[in-house]
Amino acid sequence: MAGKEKLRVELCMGSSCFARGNSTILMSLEELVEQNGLADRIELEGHLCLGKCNSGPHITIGDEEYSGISDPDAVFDLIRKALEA
Amino acid sequence: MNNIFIDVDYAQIYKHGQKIGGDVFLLSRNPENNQIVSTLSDGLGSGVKANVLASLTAHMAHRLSFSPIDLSHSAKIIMDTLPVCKERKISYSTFTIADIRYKEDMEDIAVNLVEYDNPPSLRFSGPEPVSWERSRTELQREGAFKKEVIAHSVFKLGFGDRLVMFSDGVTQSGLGKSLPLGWRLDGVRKFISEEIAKDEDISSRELSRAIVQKACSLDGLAAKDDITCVVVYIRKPRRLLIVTGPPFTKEADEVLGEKIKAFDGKKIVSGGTTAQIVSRLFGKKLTLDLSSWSKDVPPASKMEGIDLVTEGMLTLSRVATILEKKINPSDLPNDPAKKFVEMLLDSDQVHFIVGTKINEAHQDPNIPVEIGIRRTIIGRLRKALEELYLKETSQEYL
Repeated sequence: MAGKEKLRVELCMGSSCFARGNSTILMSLEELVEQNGLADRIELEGHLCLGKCNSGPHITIGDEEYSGISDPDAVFDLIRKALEA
Repeated sequence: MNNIFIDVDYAQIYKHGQKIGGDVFLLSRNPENNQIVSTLSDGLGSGVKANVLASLTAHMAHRLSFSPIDLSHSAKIIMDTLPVCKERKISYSTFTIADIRYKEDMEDIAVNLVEYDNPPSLRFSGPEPVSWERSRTELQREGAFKKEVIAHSVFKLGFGDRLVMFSDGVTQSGLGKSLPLGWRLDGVRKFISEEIAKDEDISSRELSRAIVQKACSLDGLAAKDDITCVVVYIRKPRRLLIVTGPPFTKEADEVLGEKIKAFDGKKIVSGGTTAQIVSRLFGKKLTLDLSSWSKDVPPASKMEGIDLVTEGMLTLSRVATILEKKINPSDLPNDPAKKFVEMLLDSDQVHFIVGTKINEAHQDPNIPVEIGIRRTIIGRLRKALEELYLKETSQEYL
């Protein structure tokens, strides 16, 4: 089906979130997208500090906001779920 | 901070097959009385003997220049001390001394130049050669073949002016090979003029290098004598502003904006929140650029009017480590820290505006130690810049 909307994955790249795990998550996501040819399904976007440092790392998948997930596999699961939905 | 910057550097190629030079260059900065002395001495012959003689001459000249004795008198003392070669009846070594003095907030600097038997120095204003008067003092020493002539001149150098000094390895390059009489002064003058015309802001390091490389190539890439060239270039200091951290009070945000706008030079904003404040103040869009980052350094952002926008603490701490370890930027991964370091190394004066607001989330023991106290990291940066790279730095808090 043409024109299917891409899934937006937004990561906070502020110092705190980056250090708390979004550095590894971004790297793993870039690999995931490349290895599975998902470039036309997923759009990665970075953000500056969103002011939610205390509960970071911060990530938004589609319309859903998540906090405190630093394990890339957990993020993959959430993305898989969002893509299937 | 000074409004003028005196860029002095030199390049040297030893005579083919020699591991030590008979040309000796010494440079000292004495910031207490705003004086720079540069001495170039060429010892007779090449190799160790020449090096010993040239070092002796250069050090004497150097010492005397920092003494209250006037320069032509110093030159006479040196000449009287230098032995005359028994066989050749000529002096053992030559010298050129440039004693450069400047005053703070002054637009030009005074040069006291003494030349003895090196090829005449050259001056340029932009790419244009400048000629000037020299007074000559003759000195007949015992056992010498001929009278010795010391040329002395006093002149001013302004913005964009250059003084180029070199040994005879430069003017005589190509002698009997590519050019019957060598490169000669006229050839050197023309070459320098063309080099400056190509890049008006060419650094002393690059220009001196271009000159010795050209001379060496005229010698068929096997230098027939030591080739040394010194360039003095007067220019406006290259200034860099680093803004990091949000101001302590919101009211000071405006002040920060004004200071950034008023700054004459390149600008770096380091810190996501700081960047957002600047973006709001200037009404410019801020976009994160995911194309360059690394495991240690978050991506940079782009904003009109600011040359580089990076994340704060992690980037700064990485930059401090790179500077302290003296890592060459070309060996670094392509992340914002590399760009940051390159901009620092391209500057003469670095000014820091440090916001003192504290991000409470950074006090969490679970996050890496790199997110430490901003002031400590700025202290490390300044220390490395001043001690290892001889940059001028300054700082203010908001």
